[in-house]
Amino acid sequence: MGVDPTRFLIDLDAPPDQKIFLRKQFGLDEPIFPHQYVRYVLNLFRGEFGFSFLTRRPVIDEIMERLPNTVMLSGSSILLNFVIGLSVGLYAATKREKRVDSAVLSASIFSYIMPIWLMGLVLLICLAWLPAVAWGVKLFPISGTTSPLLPPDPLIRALDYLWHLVLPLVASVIAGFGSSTYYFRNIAITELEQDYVLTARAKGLPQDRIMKRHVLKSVAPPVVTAVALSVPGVISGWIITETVFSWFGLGLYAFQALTSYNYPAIQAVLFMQAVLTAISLYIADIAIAYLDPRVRFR
Amino acid sequence: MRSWLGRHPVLARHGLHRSRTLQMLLRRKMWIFGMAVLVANISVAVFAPVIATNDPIYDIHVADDLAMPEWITIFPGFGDIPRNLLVLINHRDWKYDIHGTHASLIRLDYMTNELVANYRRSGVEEKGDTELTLTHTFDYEYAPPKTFVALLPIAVTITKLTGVSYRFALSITRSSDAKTFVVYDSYPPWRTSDFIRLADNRITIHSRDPMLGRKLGVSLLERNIAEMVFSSKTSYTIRLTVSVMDEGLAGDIGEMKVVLSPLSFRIPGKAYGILGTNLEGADVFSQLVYGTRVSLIVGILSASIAVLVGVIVGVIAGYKGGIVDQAFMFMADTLIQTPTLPIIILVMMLFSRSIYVIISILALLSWMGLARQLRAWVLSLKERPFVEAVRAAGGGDLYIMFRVIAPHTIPLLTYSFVLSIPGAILTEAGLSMIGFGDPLFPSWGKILNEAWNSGGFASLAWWWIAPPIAALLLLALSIVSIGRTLEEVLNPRLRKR
Repeated sequence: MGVDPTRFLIDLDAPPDQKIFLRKQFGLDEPIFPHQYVRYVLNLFRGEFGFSFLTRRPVIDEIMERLPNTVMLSGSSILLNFVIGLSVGLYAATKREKRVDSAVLSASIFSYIMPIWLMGLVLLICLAWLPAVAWGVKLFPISGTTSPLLPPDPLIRALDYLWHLVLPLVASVIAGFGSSTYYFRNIAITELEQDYVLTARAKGLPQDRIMKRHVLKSVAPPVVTAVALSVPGVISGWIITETVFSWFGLGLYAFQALTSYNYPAIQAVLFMQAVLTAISLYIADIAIAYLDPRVRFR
Repeated sequence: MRSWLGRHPVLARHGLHRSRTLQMLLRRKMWIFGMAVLVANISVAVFAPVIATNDPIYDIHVADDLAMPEWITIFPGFGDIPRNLLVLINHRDWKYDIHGTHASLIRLDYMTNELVANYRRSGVEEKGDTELTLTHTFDYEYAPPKTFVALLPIAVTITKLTGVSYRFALSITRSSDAKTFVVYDSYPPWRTSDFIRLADNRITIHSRDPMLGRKLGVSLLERNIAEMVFSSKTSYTIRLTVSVMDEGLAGDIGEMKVVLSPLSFRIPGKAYGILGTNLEGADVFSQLVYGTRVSLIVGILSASIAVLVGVIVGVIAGYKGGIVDQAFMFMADTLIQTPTLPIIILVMMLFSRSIYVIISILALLSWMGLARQLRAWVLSLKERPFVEAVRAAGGGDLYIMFRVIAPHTIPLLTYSFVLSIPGAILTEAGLSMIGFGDPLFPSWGKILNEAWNSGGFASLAWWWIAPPIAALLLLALSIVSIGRTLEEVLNPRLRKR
């Protein structure tokens, strides 16, 4: 990144031979490719991402502290978004071109253009700052993941965590359900025009049975793909939101690392993201093989 | 010559007629709403210097900090919020009074708009004191203000006089209870010609100056001086007193000259303009108006670059096939998986925070979807008979790609161009929100960032936070509704049967 890592570690006016010695210790005097790169990759296999320049702790420890928070927030938001998107989308598809459908469509357009961080700001001012400043009620926390000075009771800790989770989660659901709803509605509309739906209807099956038994089954593969494709953006997509909510997660960590030229941390976060992408796509492939009879294991 | 009303060959192929397309668009409410908002935004952006009342970056302290919008004063309970009040006291506005033993030595004179007082000594006068008092009375009819600022441009020159010293003081007297607050006093010491202090000729008196609090005997932490002085709605008298102490030395011949430029006394309002002010006292409305420019420039420029790159890559990849296709599509797939925000922040950290850097990176990271779509279209288009006909007639590859095939993708290009604008606008706003905006361009995200960082949220300054959020959403909503309508009209698959 065009930064000399030694300037984080020793005095700026240290003698140059000390700097050279330090660079040698870190192996920075070797050429980047292949020596440094090969060593980096080999270290990855041992779970070593190097040391954070700011805290001088192993990056992997810092990431492991924050990973559960990010997984909690983004996992629950993806889950909620798709559950809401699927149910609302399928319902709107059955009521095509009626008032419900157009209401769902406009709501999803609104949600589609709303960025999560902007919704977060709106929620923060309305539900956290306004009660706290105007009425002296601490309705929702203004920032952070946990409150300081909590008793060690696990139940209280869990409730406190959930209390902090509410605002970012609600923001991400309001700002995120639109695209999935729109997508699933369009898929379901194409499915509903298929012949098998007509057959089922001709058999005299009630509408909800058609939806649950037949349409849901054929809609499932694209849903799984969409879920899997929404996982890769988890870390980088949450940078702004986690910064707004001071959420102790990987997005905020990535932002802090980026703004302080802390490149081992950036490399590690991006690597985590790549790993998450690979894992989610792999799981999606297996799930689709189960759900879609046309796809077979070889 | 193609007529705008006739059948356009490409649109016709998609079952569209130009005038009919326009009619279809005009029948939709979403289109009308979107166009109205967009045109309003564009005109605000174009006429920003005319509409805005202040410069968005450099004008600060146009009113008191966190001033509410001025229209709030029509509501009951907000009626007497202090407005901007400027009392500019010219030489003719002063009432003067000279008394003391040597009153006859003082002569008042006017020079353009300056008041000049001469104290001329001929060397035989006795010891004595003289005082020149200038008063000006004005009415104050609002609630107690939070701040006042007085600018006292006074210059005193003593020529050849050794036994004469002077002192001047500025005080404010409340007429309801005749209480006087001395806000400036040059004493101690008595000043003489050998007393030189820089900037003495242009004295600023600010009510939030801790030294002023010490002079008045109050702590700024406990009491607001402006509230204390202007506590009631009545008339106030500004009094400038210049005292001259003459030691009466024999043979002391010369003159003392006091030059007073127009004194300005300012009470910055707590209600100002259309959208109030921020913590620095800068006009939020002007920042909002200029922010329209940034958002539109970012959105339109980056969408155009993205569409341009997407067309070139998509058409070439689809038409050429083979290794070119694979290379381009590999590039596109790699970039699709690349996390956008970290890359943008990284580039801005390393190179520059200029708005054009933001625009280019945003564009270079958002052409991939269009390129893939176009490639799929071109794959089927290039097998059509008319392409074969052009090739048989001797058309070159470039001609076929960009003059024959590319025009057929115009409907797709149109709505994907429009639909990629809001993403760019909102990403730029988000980056500015976390502090990665161009510091010299007042974007909407920057307003939010300032509110976020300097306590706009904690002080519930809704006039500072709500307008940029609303403006962002309105602009994005209008462009998305235009894009969706275009998509419905131009895309045969989505058209209602």
